Amino acid sequence: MTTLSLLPAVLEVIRLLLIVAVAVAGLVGFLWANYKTWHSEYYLPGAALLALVVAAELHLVFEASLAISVVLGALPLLLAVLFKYAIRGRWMVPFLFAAPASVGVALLFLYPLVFEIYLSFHRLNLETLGDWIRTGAIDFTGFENFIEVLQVGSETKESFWIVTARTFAWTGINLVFHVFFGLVLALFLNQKIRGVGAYRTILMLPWAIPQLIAVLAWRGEFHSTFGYVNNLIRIVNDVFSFGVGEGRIAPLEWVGFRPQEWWTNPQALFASICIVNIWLGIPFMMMVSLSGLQSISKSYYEAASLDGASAWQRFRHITLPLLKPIMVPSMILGMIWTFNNVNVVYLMTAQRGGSEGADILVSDLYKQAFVYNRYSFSAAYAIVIFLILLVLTAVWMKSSRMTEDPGRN
Amino acid sequence: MSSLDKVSLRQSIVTHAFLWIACLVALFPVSRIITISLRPGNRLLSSDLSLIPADATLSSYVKIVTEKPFLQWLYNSLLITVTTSLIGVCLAATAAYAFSRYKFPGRKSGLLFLMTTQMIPGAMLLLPIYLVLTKIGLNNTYTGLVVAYSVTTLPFSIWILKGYFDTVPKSLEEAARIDGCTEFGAFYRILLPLSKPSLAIVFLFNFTQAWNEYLVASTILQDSRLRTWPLGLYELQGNFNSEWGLFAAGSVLISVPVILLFLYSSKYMISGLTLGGVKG
Repeated sequence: MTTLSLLPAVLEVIRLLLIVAVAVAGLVGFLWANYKTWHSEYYLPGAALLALVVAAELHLVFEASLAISVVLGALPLLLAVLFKYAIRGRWMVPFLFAAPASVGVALLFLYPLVFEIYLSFHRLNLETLGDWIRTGAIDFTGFENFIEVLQVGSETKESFWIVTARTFAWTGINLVFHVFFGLVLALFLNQKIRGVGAYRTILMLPWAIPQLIAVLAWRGEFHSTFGYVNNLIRIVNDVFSFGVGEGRIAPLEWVGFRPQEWWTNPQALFASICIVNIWLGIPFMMMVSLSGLQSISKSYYEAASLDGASAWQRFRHITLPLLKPIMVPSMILGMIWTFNNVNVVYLMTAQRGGSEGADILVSDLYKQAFVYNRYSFSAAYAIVIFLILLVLTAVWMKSSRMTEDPGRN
Repeated sequence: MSSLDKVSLRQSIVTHAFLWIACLVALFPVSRIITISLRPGNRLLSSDLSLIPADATLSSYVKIVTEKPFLQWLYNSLLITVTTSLIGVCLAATAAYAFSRYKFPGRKSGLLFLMTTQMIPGAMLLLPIYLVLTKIGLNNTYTGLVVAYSVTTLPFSIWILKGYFDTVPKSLEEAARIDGCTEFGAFYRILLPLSKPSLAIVFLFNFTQAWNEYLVASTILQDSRLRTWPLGLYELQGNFNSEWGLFAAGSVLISVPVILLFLYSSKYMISGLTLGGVKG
């Protein structure tokens, strides 16, 4: 029997909530004070004094490095200049409202970005980590990490280009199946049939069930001896086979339909991950398509069938164009999510028996950073991945917008 | 071809058959988990394919609650998740209000930046967070985890809430302002009560995100006492031979409330998603 420990965690959480509240109040209060005093003639000198005090305190009391103290100290001064000459007391309400979230997002998204760029040009790994924690100093290496990222594989790392190709295949395969099955299911669910609600609820399950549980359960079913998948394949092969004398002929096995070593054979592993992720992602596309279909007015279809349009023509010329404005943003979002889907791939490959050779870029990145502890290398790797995704999304957004309204371009 | 709503018998049979097959596929791992959770401990590994085993027993359920720190995992998860959602909703609501109701420099680029954050690979954010937490000694605490969770879901929450706020007529707040309400009062007394459903959705969105998260938690929390349920179940599943049944039983216990909550809230989540996407 295990005992519960309840109190320490509660105390920590309460302390955290208090810290957040104080930080938010401090931030909003500071901005508010700026709005109240910016027109005073003592405003800029006061801000300069504040900057000096902050920088001195950081450097002398908290022993931060000179550069960090100067940069952090300059922040209130910079803000003061902005208030005096650019903002001039305008937009007080939206700025105060947006400030806490903006600072939070900036700290947690922008700061890592900057830090990552810094890391990628330096050498930080398990050996230099201790020094860095104590002194904060690491060696500058130039583009070494980036060159290593783009190199052909090594012992601890598959070739970047193979992983990239696999990632694109992964994203493409998943997206095609998600959209196809999602749309087909939505078209079926959009009919007036009995039990639509029940069908929809059941079909939502892959999305509703906690992802970790679904993936781990699937992973168990891909076990080579005890998993359902291989057993099902064996049964199907038995049904479709016939004995000839002593031997047995199973035609399906000839075309590759036979039990696989899903956990250890890289190709089979990759296939199994694709199957699991397709299963997971269909409900999202189904619901998006369904809400899109339901927003299309019935009168279009009535007019079209009066004009003698066939079912296919109605689908091609009414449903698809009207579905597009909803589907395109969801597909872009789906593409990004699939490309970045470290969870499913990691959970399917990481454990005992899992082999590499089925990794996509982000799961490889995760392993480089947290399994092999190659921090600087991973930082460079992450930047490369981010750039790929940025270019991909920009190209797609642009092309989809151009086809939407050709008149504007 | 008279009416579009009338479905022919053949078409209806095809539809039902297709949906039945789809439902079977959707239910497959779920049914398997239930089956395995009911198996007695001495024959967890079996190629038996029946849905409910002949010798069904609840011993796995009893075992995971009494012999494993299952309740502790749930408690840890619940605490982290509720705190995360509270912080997330408060920050998202105020920011969404600014983005929805006011024009200010940086509004457009701010919204675009929020979109861009969705593109950043999670591992990319995790590395600096992990290094900084290691450096300032906040590893193995909930503080770093909660901050990371609540801020990573922030862009999406703001996006959803902004979409909802856009649909609430501005005239209500203007009337309140004329009656002498402050800006914050108009937000707090008029807009927030009107958007209760959407706030609940964003709360649930934050909740499910943090509740189901595995990777960040596994990186930051190494102390076994601090474990959340995904970390605990992951380890049970790793012992494929001995604890597979416990994993299944734990999964069923956790999934049932989560699935119910999700099915209840998903309708609103989708409409929020498409609203935000279309209006931009």
